[in-house]
Amino acid sequence: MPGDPLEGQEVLQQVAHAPLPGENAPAASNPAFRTYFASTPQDESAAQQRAEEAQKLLAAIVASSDDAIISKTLDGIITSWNNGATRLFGYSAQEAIGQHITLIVPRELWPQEDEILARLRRGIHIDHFETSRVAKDGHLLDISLSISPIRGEDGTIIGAATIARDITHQKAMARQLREREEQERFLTEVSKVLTSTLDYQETLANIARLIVPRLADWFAVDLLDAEGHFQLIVLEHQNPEQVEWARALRERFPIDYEASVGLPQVARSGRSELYPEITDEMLVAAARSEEELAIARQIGYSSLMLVPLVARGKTIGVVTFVATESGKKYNARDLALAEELGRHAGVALDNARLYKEAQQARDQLEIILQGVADGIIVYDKGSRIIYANEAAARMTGYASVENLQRARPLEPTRRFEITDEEGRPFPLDQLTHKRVLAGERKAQAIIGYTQKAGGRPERWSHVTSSPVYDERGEILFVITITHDITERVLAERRKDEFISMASHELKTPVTSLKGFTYVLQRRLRNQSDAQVLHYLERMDAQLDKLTRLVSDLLDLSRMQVGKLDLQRAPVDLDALIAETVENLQATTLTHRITIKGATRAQVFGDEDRLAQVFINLLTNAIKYSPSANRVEVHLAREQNCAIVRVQDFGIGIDEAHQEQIFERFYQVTDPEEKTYPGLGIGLHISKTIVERHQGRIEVHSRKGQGATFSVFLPIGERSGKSDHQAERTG
Amino acid sequence: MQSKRKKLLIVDDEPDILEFLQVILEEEGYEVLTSTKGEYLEQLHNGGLPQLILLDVLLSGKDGREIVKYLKSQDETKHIPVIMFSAHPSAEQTARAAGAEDFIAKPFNIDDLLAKIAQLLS
Repeated sequence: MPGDPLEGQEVLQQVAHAPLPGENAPAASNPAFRTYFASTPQDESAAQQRAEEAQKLLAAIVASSDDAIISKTLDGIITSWNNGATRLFGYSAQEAIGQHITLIVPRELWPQEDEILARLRRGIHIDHFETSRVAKDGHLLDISLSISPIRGEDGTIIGAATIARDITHQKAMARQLREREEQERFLTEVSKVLTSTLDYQETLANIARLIVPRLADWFAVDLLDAEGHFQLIVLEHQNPEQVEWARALRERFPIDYEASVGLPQVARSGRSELYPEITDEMLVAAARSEEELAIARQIGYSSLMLVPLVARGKTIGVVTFVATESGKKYNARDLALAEELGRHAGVALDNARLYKEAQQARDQLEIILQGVADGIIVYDKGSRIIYANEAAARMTGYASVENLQRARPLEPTRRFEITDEEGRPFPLDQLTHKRVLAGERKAQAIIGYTQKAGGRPERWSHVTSSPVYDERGEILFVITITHDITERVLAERRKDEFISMASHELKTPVTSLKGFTYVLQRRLRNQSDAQVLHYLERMDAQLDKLTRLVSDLLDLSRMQVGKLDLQRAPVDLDALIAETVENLQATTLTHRITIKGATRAQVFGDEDRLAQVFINLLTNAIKYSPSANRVEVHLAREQNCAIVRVQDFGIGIDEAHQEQIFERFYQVTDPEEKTYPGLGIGLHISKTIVERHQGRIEVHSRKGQGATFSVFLPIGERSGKSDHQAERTG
Repeated sequence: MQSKRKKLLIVDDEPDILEFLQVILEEEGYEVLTSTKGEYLEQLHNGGLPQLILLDVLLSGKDGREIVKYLKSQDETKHIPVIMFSAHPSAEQTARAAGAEDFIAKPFNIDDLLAKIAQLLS
C-alpha cells in the first residue's frame, strides 16, 4: 500500500467557485440545474413552492439514481443513503444512517477516508476517485467516488455528498485486458527465447527463468526418452539450494509410472491437469510413504498445473508449474497460458532436438573421419577441396586442414615432391581424383613423397579415388582416400635388401664351386675318364640351375619394388632363341628341342632377361611333359610383332588355372600336379619381363593335351614408349 | 712366350675364388697375382704393374668402384683394363660408370671370362 493514495491524483481539484448550498454537488455543478433552481426575489411564496417542488424532484432523482448517493457529516456520520447505496453496499438506509462512513470502508483504507474528510473540510472537491469499498456481505467493490462539500446557509461546510459508482465490472474488464496483454507479451518473450538458440538445454533454462517466479514458484520440464522414461531436464526455483534439494528428492522418490494422475498420465493422455488448490487431503492421498508426505507438506504446495509438451502431434514431455510460497491459485486462464507455452516449447524443443541430433551425427562422423588413420579428401567437380581430415593434411605435409584446403588443387604438397612408384615425378594430371573427374570409376596410384630438397621418397601412400554421383548420374564430388604404406614399402625394401644380400651370399660359394668344377673338368679331360667327366657336367648343370633359382628370387624381390633393371640394346631374336635352345639342349637328355620358322626380327630389349624368359618356358615345357620326348619352338612374325611359341606335349593346364599361373607363388594344387615342385615364380617373372618389353605372354592349353606359351614382342630399334628403366642405375 | 707372359691381378675377398682363378689362368698361360685386399692396388709401383685387373665390386671394407675410379685417375694406371665382377648383376651399370672396361656377373661361366680377358689383352 502506498503511503498516501490520494497524493498526485488528478481527480483532486480545488473548486474555484463556491458550490450551491445544500445541494448535491454533481447537480449543482450542472448549469441547467442552476438555472432551474435559482431563486428569484419577485414571488416569495411561489419561490417557496418552487423550492419545495425542487426538493421533491431532487429527492426523486436521488432515490431513483443507479448510483449510490450518500451524504455525511464532516465527522463521517452518514446522514442520507439512497436506494442505489442500498443496492450497492447491501445496507438499508435504516442500517446505514447514523453509522460512521467507515462502515463501508475497508480497514486498510481508513486513513484514506480521514484524508478525504480533511480535504472536504478545506472545501476541496473530489472527482472520480477510484478506490475500494466493502459491502455488507464482506466482498470488495471497485468504485468511483465523487465527493463535494455541503455548505450551510452561512456558507460554512457542514458535510459532504458522495456519489459512488460501481466500477467492479469495468475494473475487471481492464484487468482482463491488462492480463491478456501481459500474456501476449509473455508469450512473445517466450517465443523469442525459444527461437533464440537451438541448444535445447539453454532454451529450457531461459524459459524457466521467464516463468519463475512470474508464473510459478517451481518450474520443471521432464522429457520422455526413447524408453518412455522421464528425464528431468530443467528444475527451476529462485533459490538454487532449493533446486538442489528438489533434485535430490526426485532421485529418492522416482516417478510412479503406474500412477493414474500426474506426469505419466499427462504423457499418456496428452491432456493437461490443473489443481487450483492443493489440499492436505490430496497430499495424503498422493503420498506413498510418511516420509514422502512430510516432504510434500514441507514443500507447501498451493496450486499445480501439468501441461504436455507436444511436438508433431506427439507428447514429448511434461511441463510442471507449481505455486508454493506465492500462494498463487492457478485458474483456467493460467492453464490456457501454460498450454500455449507447452505448444510453443514443444515445437522449439523438437527443432532443437532434431538440430542437435543432426549436429551429433555430423560431429560423430567428423570424429570418425578425423580419427581414421587414412587421409580423406573430398574434391568438388572443380578439383577444389571441400573436405579434408587431419591425416590428409599430415600426409600431404600441410600444418593443418585449413592450410591444405587453401592450397591450390593441383599444387603438390608444400614440403614434398610427389613421385610415382619408381621415383619419377608424378604427373599431376594423373592424380587419382583427376582421373576420376576425367571419367574413371575408380582410380588408384602409389605415390611417394620426397622432401623438396630431393633424395629418396620418405613416405609412400596408396591413393584411391572414387566418384559420388548425384541423382542424374553426374559427378557430385570425388572422395580420395590416402593410405600410408610407408611401413609396408620400407618392410619390402628391407626384404629386398635381405634377399639381395642373401642371393649375393649364395652366389659367392656357387662361383667357387663352378670354378673348381671347371678346374676338375680340365684336369680329368686329359685322363679321358668319360664317366667322371659326365658327372662333372651334371654337377655344373645343377650349379647353373641353382644359380638361376637364386637369381629368380632376387628378380622377384626387385620386381616387387619395381626395380627390375633392363639393359636394353637391339637383340637378334632368332639368334638368341637358337643359342638358348642350344645351351638347354646340352643339358637335356630326355627331350629334343626343335625350332620351326623364324621371326627375322630385332627387338630392343635386355638380351639376358629375354633369354631368362625362354629358358624358363623351355625348362617348364620339359618339366611338365615327362612322358614326351620333344618340345617345339615356333617362331613367327605378324606385322610389328615377333611371336615365340613354346609348345610341349605334356600334362597340360586346366582352364581353371590358366589365369593364375602367371601370379606370384602360384602353384597348381591338383593332386597330380603336386608332384611337380617349384617356387611358382618363374612364369610371374617371365610375364613381368615380357611386359617390361611392352610385350605380352599367353597360354593355350587343355588338360592332358600339352600347353603352348606364346610371347609377343614389339619389333623395332626402340619401342615407342620411353623406357626409363634403362636409364636408372641399380 | 714364357718371358712375355701377361701379368694379371685378381682382387677378391673370397680366397677360394682367387685360388681357382689362379689355377685356371696360370694354365691359360698368364702370370697371376692375387690379393684379398683392395689397398694392394693403391700401392702398385710402376715396375709391378699388371696388364689387366680382375676386381670384385664389393670387397670387405672397400668398394671396388672407388678403386677403379682411383686407378683411372692415375696416369700410370689409367691404361690398365679392368674387369669387375659381382654377385649383384645390377652392379654392372655402376661398375662401368666408375671406369671398368667390362663386367661379369657371379657366378660366371669360366669360358666367358677367359674370352673377355683375351679380348681386352689383344
